Amino acid sequence: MNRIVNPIIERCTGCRVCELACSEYHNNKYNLKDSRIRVVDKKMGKRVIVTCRQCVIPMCVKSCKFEALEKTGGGYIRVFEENCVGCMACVEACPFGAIWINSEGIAVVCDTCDGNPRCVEKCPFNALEFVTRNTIAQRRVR
Amino acid sequence: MELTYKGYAGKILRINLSRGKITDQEIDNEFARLFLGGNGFGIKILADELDPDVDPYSPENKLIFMTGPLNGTRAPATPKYIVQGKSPLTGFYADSVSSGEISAELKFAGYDGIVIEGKASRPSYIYIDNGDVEIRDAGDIWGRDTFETQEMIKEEVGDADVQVAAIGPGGENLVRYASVIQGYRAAGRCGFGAVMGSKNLKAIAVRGDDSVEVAMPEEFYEWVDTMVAEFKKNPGTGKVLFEMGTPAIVNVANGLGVFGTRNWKEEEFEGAEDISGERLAKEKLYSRGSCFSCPIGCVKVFKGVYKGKAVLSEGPEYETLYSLGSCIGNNNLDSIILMDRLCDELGIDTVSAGVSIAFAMECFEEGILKDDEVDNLKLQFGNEEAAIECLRKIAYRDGIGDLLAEGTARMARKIGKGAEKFAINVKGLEIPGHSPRGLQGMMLGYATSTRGGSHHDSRPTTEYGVVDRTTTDGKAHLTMSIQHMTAVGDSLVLCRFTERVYGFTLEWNMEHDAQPEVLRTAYVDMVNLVTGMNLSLKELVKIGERIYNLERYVNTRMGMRRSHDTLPRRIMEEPIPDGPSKGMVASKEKLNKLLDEYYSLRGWDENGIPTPEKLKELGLIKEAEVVKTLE
Repeated sequence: MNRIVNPIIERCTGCRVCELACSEYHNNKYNLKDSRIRVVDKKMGKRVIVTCRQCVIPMCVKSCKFEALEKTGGGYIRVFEENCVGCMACVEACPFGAIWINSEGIAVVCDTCDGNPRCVEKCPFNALEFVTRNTIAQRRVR
Repeated sequence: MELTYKGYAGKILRINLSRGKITDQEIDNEFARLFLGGNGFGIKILADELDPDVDPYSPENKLIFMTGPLNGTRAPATPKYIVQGKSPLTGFYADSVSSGEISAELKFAGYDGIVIEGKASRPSYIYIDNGDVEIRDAGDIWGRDTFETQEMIKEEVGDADVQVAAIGPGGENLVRYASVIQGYRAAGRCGFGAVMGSKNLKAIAVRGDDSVEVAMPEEFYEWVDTMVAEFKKNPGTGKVLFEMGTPAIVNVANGLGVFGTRNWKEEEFEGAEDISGERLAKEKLYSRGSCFSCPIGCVKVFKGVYKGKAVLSEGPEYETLYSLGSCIGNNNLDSIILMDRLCDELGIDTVSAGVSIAFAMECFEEGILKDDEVDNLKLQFGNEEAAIECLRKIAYRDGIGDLLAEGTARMARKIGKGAEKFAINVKGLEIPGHSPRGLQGMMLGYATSTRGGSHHDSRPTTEYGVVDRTTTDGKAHLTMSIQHMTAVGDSLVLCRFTERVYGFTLEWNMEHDAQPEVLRTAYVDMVNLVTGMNLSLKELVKIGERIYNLERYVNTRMGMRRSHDTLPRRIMEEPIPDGPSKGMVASKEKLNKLLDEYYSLRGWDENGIPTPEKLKELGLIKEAEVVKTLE
C-alpha cells in the first residue's frame, strides 16, 4: 500500500532538519531551495509543513502542458526535468502548495526517497511519519 | 594556497557604505586553517585592519557578520552567526552570537561573512540576492520596530525566503546596548545594533540559492545521526532544555543561592518560584520551537496577559528572567514576558537593560537619584510598571531613558555621588545571571572575558554541579580551556548548549573518557568531516588559543590591561548576605591570585599583555612585533 509523508504538526519545532535531510539525499550537499519538503513559518510559534499528499487524481499532473509530471505506480509524482519549463502551472494547481520551482527553474516534489523518506528518518522530534492514507483517516475517527 | 577545504562559501563580502563600494574577498586554505571561521576570521580581519583608537560610532569602525564552516549543514545546533567590531559599551573588541537562519542563507548566497565599514549618507539596508548586492534606501523603514522591519523588507523585495537582520529604535537612537534582531532571536550583547545605527544601516537582507558542501558526506551524515542520538540521551539537551528551555535555571540557581537579586544586593529571590521555568512551562507555554538545524529544541514561545492584554514572546530566556525579574525585584511573570517582547521589538539587550534599570532603582532607593531625575516613575525594586516605561524611554532616549541607554559604567560616572559602587558590570558590560561570588570560577571567567560581563567567553555550566563551585583551585586552567572551546565554537559557529555533549572544553571528553568513544573527539571530527582539514585535537586547541590571544592582542592595543580584568566593587567587597551561599565573595585577593596563575598559564605578562614569544608560538608573527611596542 502506498504511504505518504504526514506531518504531526504539534511536534514540529521548525528546525528544518527535514529540508536538510531531503537535500542531503537528493543533492548529496545542502541546498534548501531544492528540498521537497518545506517548513513555512506562519507567525510567532506557528508553522506549517508542506509535502506531497500523492493525490489519486493529481492536479499538478493534470495541469502540466509539457508532460513533465507523471504519477508513478509508487504513488508519488515523478518530474521529467528535461520537459519542465518552470511555468508554475503545477504550483498554481496544487491545493496544498506542495510542489514548487527550485532555483534552476525546475519543479520539485516529494518522491519519498524511493520509499524510504529521509525527512521522516532524520526528524529529531518525530514530527513526521510515513503512513498509509487510512492510518491518517482512522486516527480522525473518534 | 587557494581554498580547497569544504564547508566554506569561499568569499567574504566587503562593503564600504560611505563610498557605496562592494567587493569580494577570497579566502584561502592558510587563512581557514589558522582561523577556522566566524570568530577567528573576524578577529584576524580586525587585528589587521582596525585602528585601535577608532570611535565605535565612527564610520571607520568595522562591523562584521560572520558564519563558520558548519552553518548550513545538518551538524547539530549550528544556527548561529557572530557579529563583531569595537563595542560602544565596552570600548574594546567584542562580539555577539545569535541564532538566525540568515547564517545558513548567507552561505547559500555564496558568502562566509560580511565586513561593513563607512557610513551611508541616509538610512539604508543591504540586500544580498546571491551574488547581487545592493545598498537600498530605508527611508520608509527607519523608525519601525525590528519585526515590522523584517516584514516590510520581505515585502519590498518580493521574496518570502529572504532572511533579514534588523535594528529597531534602540539601534537607531544609539542605545549602547542595542541589539540586532533576526527572526525572533537577538545578537543582544555589546551594542552592535547601535553600531549599525551609527552607520545608518537599518538591516541586512539575504537570499541564497547555492549549496554548502562537506568534505566527507557519507561519514558526516552518519556522524550527525550518532550525535543527534547523544543529544537526545543527554538529560540536559534531551529533556530539560526541550521541556523548559533555559528558564529551568531559575530554580537551580536560586536553590544554590546564586541568583542575582535586587542589583546583586542578594542572591536569593523570594519570588523565584513565580518566575520559574516550571511555572512558565506549566502556565505560559504557547508553543515549542527550535533554531535552525537543532535537535535540542530549547526555544519556547510564552503567552502572558499583562493588565488584560495578551502578549506573545519567543522567550524570556533565563537571562531575562534574571535581568528583568530578580535583578529588579520583579516576580510578575506576565510583565517579564511583555518586557522580553518589548526589548526584541525595540532592539535592546534584555540583560543590560534590566541591570541598568536595577542600578537606577538602587540609586533611587539610596536617594542618589531624585524623583525629578527619574521622571517621577517611583523607580523602586519590584515596580514592574516603571521598568516597562523605562524600556520605551531607553529605546527613544527619552528622559531617564537617555541616562539608562548609556549602561551602568557611564551612568555611574554621570551620576557620581558614589553611585559607582552599585554598578554591576565588567569592562562596561552588565553581567548576566551567573554569580561571580557563588560560582568561584566565574570570578575569573568574567574578569578575563574578552567582552567583559559575559557568560559566553568563559562558561558557568560546569559549576552548576560538575565541578566544585566553592573553590578557586584549578579554575585558572579550567577558565582558559573553556575559553578555547568557546573561541572554536564561535568560529564554527556552534550553539553553546552543545558543550553538554561535545565537552565543556575541547579536551574534556578525552580527559574524562566519555562514552561512547566517538564523543571524545567530537570537536575535531566535526571540523574534519566538514572541511577535510584533518586536524588533530592538539591543533584545534591551538586554534582556540590563537583566536583568544588575538582577541586579547586587539584589546591590549585598545588599552586593555590587568586593571580592566576586575569585577564590580560590590562583588569583590560584599559577601553574599544570606541563603545557601551565604558568605561567599569574589575578593580582590582571590581574584589577583587567580589572575597571576591565569596570565602565567597563558604566557601573558603580569600586566595581562600576551608576550611576543607566545604570539610567535601561535604563528602570529606580525602581532608579536607590534606587541613589543606596548607598555
